[in-house]
Amino acid sequence: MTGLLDLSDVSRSFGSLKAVDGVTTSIAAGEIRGLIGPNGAGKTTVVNLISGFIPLTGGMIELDGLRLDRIPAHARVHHGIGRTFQTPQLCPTMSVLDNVVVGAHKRLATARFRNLRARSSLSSLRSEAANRAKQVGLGDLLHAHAGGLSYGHMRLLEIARALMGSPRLLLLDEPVAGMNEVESDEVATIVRELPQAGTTVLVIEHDMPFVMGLCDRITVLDHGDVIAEGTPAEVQADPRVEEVYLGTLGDEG
Amino acid sequence: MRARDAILSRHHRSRTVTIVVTAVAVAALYGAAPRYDGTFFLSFLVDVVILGLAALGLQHTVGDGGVLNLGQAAFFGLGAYGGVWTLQHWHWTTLPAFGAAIVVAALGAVVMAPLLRLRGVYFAMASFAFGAMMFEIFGQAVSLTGGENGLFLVPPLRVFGHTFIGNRDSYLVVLTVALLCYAVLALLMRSGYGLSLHAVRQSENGARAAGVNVARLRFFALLIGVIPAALAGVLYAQVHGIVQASVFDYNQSVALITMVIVGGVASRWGAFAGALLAQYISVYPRAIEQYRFLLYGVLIAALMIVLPGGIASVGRVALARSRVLLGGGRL
Repeated sequence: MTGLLDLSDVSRSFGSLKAVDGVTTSIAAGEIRGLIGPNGAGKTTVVNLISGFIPLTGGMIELDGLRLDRIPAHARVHHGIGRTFQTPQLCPTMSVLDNVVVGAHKRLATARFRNLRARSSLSSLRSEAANRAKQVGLGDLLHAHAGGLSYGHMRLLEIARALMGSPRLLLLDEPVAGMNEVESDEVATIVRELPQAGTTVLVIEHDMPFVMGLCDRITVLDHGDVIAEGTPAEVQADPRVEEVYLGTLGDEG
Repeated sequence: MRARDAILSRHHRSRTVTIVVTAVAVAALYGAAPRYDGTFFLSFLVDVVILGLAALGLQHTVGDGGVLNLGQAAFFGLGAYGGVWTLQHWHWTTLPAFGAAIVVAALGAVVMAPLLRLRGVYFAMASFAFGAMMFEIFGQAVSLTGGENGLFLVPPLRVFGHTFIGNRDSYLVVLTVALLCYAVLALLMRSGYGLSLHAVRQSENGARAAGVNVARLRFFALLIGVIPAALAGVLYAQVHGIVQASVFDYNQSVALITMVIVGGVASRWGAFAGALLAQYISVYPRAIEQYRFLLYGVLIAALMIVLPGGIASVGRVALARSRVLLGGGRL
């Protein structure tokens, strides 16, 4: 496999529960990949494994040939892994702008030690952060406290913060949950432009019209295992996928 | 654009206010030296500023860094013994002794660093134990520290060839060092380091996802916080001419954290306000000396209810209350 991101037999157990059980897939550079599956299928665990927030119990993760799985989470960001969270993880009393600036942490740290004119470099990071905020449609809210934003705006702010690190791979964990159709269309527009800027995307989402309209390819997980992978049309036509989703509906009904 | 101009002008106005208030406060602090020359109150103030300096460092670790260090007195002591060694054995003066004190305290922080793997109250307990352990060492390492008798005849403050003896001179040196530390910490918190530290405190996961090395930043919060305490140790030794291990016991750690909490965890000047109040309680009402820590406890409990932001938030709370009373404002 020679994708940007290669997962080989990736596994994660919590005690006797196999949350992710031997996932193997490859995401090509410039792709927008969807990761779907019923609740508890292991989607968020996959994102946590790729971003290093939890360690693997088996398998291997490579980013462009680089073994990621022994690198701590913060250092993976420096290698080009950006992410957002299902529940936004922001600094509530800091302004929108400062929250975005934090995303440039690597450059902040360098400015701190190597550049005595740290103030000027901080202000250049601020203007870059303002552009990122505008890119996700938060241009009017730069000085608002992050804690006072609507849920949708918080999700957008997380995307802006992740983009400050110029990620090669951006992991989006349910970016449009709780958004209306207009808002989720806006997010789709933002995400669709990312590959041109050199950012490959892996997106978890339950909103099927959003996923089907946005992604180049889709991976379907069930019980920690890949049960189908392909273009949106292929996945939709796959009987196993239909079974899993109908099964879920049946359980809920 | 008009909204932005309004924000900018308000920013400039608040900046002017800050500069004026700071200038007046600094002038008043220096003015205290001639005003109270020859009084017990000035020697009391010298101790308040020295302890406030140690508390200022702790405020950075606890308030800015979110690392609840209950062993700050150990670093106060490490700085004092490290500095005094160079003063007595190598006949260094105050500023080089500061350097030695910082190195010794920083080594202490490195020894304490593995404890940072613990979080919240677990780190707090471990740091308290670290402080107690260091106090034992201070008491036992007689050849280095003089043990419980302490080290005597510590040379007085000497900076740039000028010797500072007496409360008035000591006060000027101590105050200057404290103000410089204050300014450095204030600038540091406005730098990228400060921003990252805020981010870690408010959302550790968010900061990590932004590429912040949380473990390293927590260590920096500890390391930078022990430096003012180390300087305070040297100042204490040189002002009093004597250092005894009992000054750096765990009661001192408790006193320092009390100062930080009472003054306001989020406030740098609160550390000094807390030091003033705590030191007042411990010095003036001699009759209640043995109830000092009981009073500290009551003080913290009362403040948490009445004034959760500490003494430093008095102005803000009073302003908000008066706005409510006058009507038209919002709380």
